[in-house]
Amino acid sequence: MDYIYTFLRSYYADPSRPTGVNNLVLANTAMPHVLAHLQGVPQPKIELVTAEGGVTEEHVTGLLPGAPGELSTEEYDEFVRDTVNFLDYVGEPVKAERQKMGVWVVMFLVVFWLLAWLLKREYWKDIR
Amino acid sequence: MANGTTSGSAPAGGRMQELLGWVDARFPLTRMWEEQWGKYYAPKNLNNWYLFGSLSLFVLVLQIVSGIFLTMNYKPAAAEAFGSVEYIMRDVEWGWLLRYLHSTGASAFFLVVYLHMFRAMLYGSYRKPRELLWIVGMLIYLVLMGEAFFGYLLPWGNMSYWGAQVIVSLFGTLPVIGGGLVEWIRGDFYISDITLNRFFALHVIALPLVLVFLVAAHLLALHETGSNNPDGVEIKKKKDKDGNPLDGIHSHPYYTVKDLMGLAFFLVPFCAVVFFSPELGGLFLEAPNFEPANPMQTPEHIAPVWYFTPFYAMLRAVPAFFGTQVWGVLVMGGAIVLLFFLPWLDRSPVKSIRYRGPVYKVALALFVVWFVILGYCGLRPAVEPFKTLSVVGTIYYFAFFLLMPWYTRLDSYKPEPERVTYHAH
Repeated sequence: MDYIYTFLRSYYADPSRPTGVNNLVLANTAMPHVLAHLQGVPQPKIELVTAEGGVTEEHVTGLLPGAPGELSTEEYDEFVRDTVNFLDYVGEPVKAERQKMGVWVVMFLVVFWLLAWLLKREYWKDIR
Repeated sequence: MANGTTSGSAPAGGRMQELLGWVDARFPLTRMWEEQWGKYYAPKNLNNWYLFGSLSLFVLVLQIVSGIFLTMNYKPAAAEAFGSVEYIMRDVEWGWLLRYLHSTGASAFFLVVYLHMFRAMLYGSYRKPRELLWIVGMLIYLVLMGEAFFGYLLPWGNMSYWGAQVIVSLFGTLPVIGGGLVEWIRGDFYISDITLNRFFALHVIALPLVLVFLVAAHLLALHETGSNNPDGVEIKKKKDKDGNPLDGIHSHPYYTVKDLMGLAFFLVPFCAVVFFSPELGGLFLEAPNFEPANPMQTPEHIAPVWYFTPFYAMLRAVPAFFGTQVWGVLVMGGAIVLLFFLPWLDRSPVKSIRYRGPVYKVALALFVVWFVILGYCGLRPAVEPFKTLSVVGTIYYFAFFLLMPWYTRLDSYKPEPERVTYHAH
């Protein structure tokens, strides 16, 4: 869930890709930036990074604002959050109800176990 | 009404007694109850390891009942199976609970059965006169593996599909008959709608029927020989003047209430999994199975469910030679077959771990460690260090059983007590 949220917020323009975009979370993703009209397409922040071997390479280290979309940054984040939450809900609609019910079920069973244990102890008093 | 014996004003208990008498004259109801449980003498020193038998029985009933209701809403057809499972999860009243009880129950079944079998190994419960009891138990385990395998195809997820593909193709390694046998099992040239249909039939009727029959035989055999106990001494050797074992107590109410306590204790973690983590991080329900079966796309890593992985690791540990993979299959099959011979492999003069020498204690402890390591290796891809660990684990597994006749005989032992040890609490 957090992954998809971050993923949808991590696209950047990359003319070398067939889709014209790339992703910070999943490099060279085949999925196009379907929400580009809402977010716009951020530009990559490219820095020179010197690796241990002394080789200096260009790396995308972050995102810079690019062409603006229909939504502001805050609105877009809100939109992605709602979308991801909905996807999570629709994946298993009963999840929230299941967990709420589970608390009661487990609490009941703990009490039941305690009573069963006391009952067992009472009966087993006879055994020498 | 003059003598008042059967008047309408007789107490309710009297009426019930009369009805029971009527039944007993025609069917051995009371006798069956008393022989099989009510007045069955069980050793008084059975510890908590002895709870897993009744728990297995509980899980069997749970699987049958939840299975019946799942069957009412499931469609055993390749085009509809995956969708019908989602329908159960979303639209059927309490369908999600039925499915999670059934899927968690499958793993719980193997867990309690493995612990039940380990208990037998701890206390020598398979030894004379309980060899047949052990063999029937092994048959139950074998049928249970089949039941789990056939059931795993039914959701028609991608792991269901490819898991079945891998396991069925194992039979293809057998010389001469292999190819034809695989076709015969699948009923087709690939895992198809036809395969799904027959696996459904085997899963919901054929094997459960055999399973219930074997469980009945297992219980009858147990109540014939009498239960073993943590001291491994026969309680039937010391009897009171009425001919009842001195160290025995009636199963009812003593073990009825103890098993009830065990059940409640088991249900806490069981329901915690059902309600909070039914997938258990991919261990009970695997991620690729949330996608429909796709014959064109193999999952990244095919692994069976955890309860098969120790044997799966053994299968992969054996390399192919003479141009065939059949050796791994034979090793995997041999690992199961060996278990049947356990009563005759063990030559120790004592049954229980309590009176055995250090050699067996260490051997059994290492056996548990290696079995768990094998299980973990079977879950992981076949890369190092899992490949080497699997090979070592497989060698240890076989050495543990095949060398048993020697090391159990040579091992030191302490004398068994005359009577069972029991400390009243």
